[in-house]
Amino acid sequence: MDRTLLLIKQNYLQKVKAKSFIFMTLLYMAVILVAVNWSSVKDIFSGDDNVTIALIDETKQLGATFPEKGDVHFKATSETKKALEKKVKDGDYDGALILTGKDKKLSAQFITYEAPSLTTQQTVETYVDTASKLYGIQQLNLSAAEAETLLSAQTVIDEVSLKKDDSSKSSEAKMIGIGVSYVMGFLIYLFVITYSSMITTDIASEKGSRVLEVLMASIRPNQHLMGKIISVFLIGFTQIVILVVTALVGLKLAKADLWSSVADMAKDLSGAYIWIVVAFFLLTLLLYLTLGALMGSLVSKVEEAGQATMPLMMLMMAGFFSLIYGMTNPDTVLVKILSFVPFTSGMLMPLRYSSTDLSLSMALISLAILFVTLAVVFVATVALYRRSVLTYSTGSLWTKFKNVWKFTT
Amino acid sequence: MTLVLSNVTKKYRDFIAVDQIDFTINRGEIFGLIGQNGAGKTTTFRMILNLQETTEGEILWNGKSVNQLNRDFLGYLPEERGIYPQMKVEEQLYFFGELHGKKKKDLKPKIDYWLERFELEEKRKDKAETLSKGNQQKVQLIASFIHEPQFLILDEPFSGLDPVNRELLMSAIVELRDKGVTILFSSHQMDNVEELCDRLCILKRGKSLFSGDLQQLKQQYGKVNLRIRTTMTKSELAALDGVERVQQTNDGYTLRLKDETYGPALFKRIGQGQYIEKFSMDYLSLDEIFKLKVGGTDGQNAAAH
Repeated sequence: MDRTLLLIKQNYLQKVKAKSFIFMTLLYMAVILVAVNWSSVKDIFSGDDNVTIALIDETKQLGATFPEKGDVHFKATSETKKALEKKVKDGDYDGALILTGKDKKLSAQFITYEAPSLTTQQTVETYVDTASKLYGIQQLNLSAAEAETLLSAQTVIDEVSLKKDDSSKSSEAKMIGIGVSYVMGFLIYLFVITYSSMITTDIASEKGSRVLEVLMASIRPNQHLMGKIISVFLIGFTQIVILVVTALVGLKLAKADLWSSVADMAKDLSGAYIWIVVAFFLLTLLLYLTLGALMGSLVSKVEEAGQATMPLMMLMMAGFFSLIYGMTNPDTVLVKILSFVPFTSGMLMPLRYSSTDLSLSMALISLAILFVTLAVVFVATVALYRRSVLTYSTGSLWTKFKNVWKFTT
Repeated sequence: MTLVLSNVTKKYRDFIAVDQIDFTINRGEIFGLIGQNGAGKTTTFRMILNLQETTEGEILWNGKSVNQLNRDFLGYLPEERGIYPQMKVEEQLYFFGELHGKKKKDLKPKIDYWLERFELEEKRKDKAETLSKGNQQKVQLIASFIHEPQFLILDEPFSGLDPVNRELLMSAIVELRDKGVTILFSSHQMDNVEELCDRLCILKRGKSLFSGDLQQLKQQYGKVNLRIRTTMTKSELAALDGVERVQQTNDGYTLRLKDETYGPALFKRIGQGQYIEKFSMDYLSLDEIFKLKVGGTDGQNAAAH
């Protein structure tokens, strides 16, 4: 068997069979399953958290606006305010809502004993808001049809761009794009951090236990480097496949009809976007794996691996926080610049591509920059790796780097 | 089948690690490379292993430069032990064997043999990190030659071993030699070198102080070690003609002579025609020669002899 393949096989099997990998994968699977079944799971925990609110509707017209079922539900009653107040105090009701019409306007009073939760407050506000509009319309003595027209009036903006190659996405598509980019960005963050530190630790421990020296006697340094990058990449890929399958099966089986809503969302994403996200994901992961391998080869023992992974973590975090910042405003200069910087573009370019009217060519330019950087970093790593794997020195990363240079040239 | 190092030099930016080393190792020979820490032993090994390039000179195996050869012909045991702590002993041996191009089924009988030989049979399925240091070393040694190399490099194979395991290792090395494996090894413990080596090279700060036959080296110095048991005092002995130094041991004295030709005269003088219980003239031990060569005034000493 080819030696690189043997190395890949050995490392892959060892890592995939490791308890930490199995545990983490199971944990992620559990998180995914909880997420897709969130509505059912939520019911288990909040089953008896129903809020019952007594409703005195003095206008006699608005009862239908307030639902009798749901997390926050209303119960119409004709009791006096006094009697209700007592019942609220005793805990028979969680609150009481009193609606009165005055000068063609609706006024509402919400009485509680225990302070209401924020969601309850917001829900009640929303219902009262709707009721108040309805009441206002009714006071105008409009016909039912007229009232209906007024209430359901909503203008759909037809966006027309005169610029030729503009993708001109609808705002809905942009919103979905932001959401998907956030999820992808988070996944890139999670995978890059997990697997770049895995490769750093792995090489550092082989170096520390001097296995590397034995390996070097039979394989070339670049074979070892390739073996490590490919095997860790495959381990990551294995995990992604497991998680994606879990998510798909979970969506299919989930009680709520999530499958169709996800399918609807996917329709709003262009094919180009999906390919771009995948390309950025893979290239970013490979870039950080290569850098992680280089860092691992610089340190002398596994205890120093943490120190070596720090710079990469910082880069990753810078990218991730820019992503969060960019979600609210993807058009800022910072986000624009970072979407071309190869270390952060993997997170920011998909965001910009999906949430602004950026042309495909820009995304491809950024992708090309990332690819060229990866190639350069890889060649540099190969050149440095054969020197650094057998150099043992103490001090900061920079000192180690200088030592590698000094002792091997 | 020989390994030839000619004029091998390794220069770094600000110092010379190995300076014009020459030696030849013949087939089926055990060759020792001795020197203090930092003498350039590991660098020499790494150049032979093609892990580092030579600045000058060449290293040939059977007339071919080592960096053109498939590396399966050699095996290497590094100074600090390198095994995967999490891997089982057996897996480890298969892995290193396969890495050197061997097939699993060919490896099995050899692994069985060596595990048995090194009394590791019941540790077969244990993780390497749970083994004692001596056992880890034995596993490591097996891993270095399980692919049956023609040439084996052992960097400090005996460090940290108890006498029983040291014996086991020694006999294994001799067994490999008898099978035709050429062995190059380094050690701080000169008695190991003396016991195993046919020929050797002494390094000091990258320079070769001697390279050649061990017996020749000893003969260069002559039989200047005299061990005696006598009633004479230390100062009386020191005053004798031809005695360079006297050292009292717990069993008599050890005299260092200027020259072995003083022997007969000293025998007469000390014995005075009487029965002598102990009068033993011998070559210097390698340890003593090493100290003479490497310690302080080595330059003159080496030139004088």
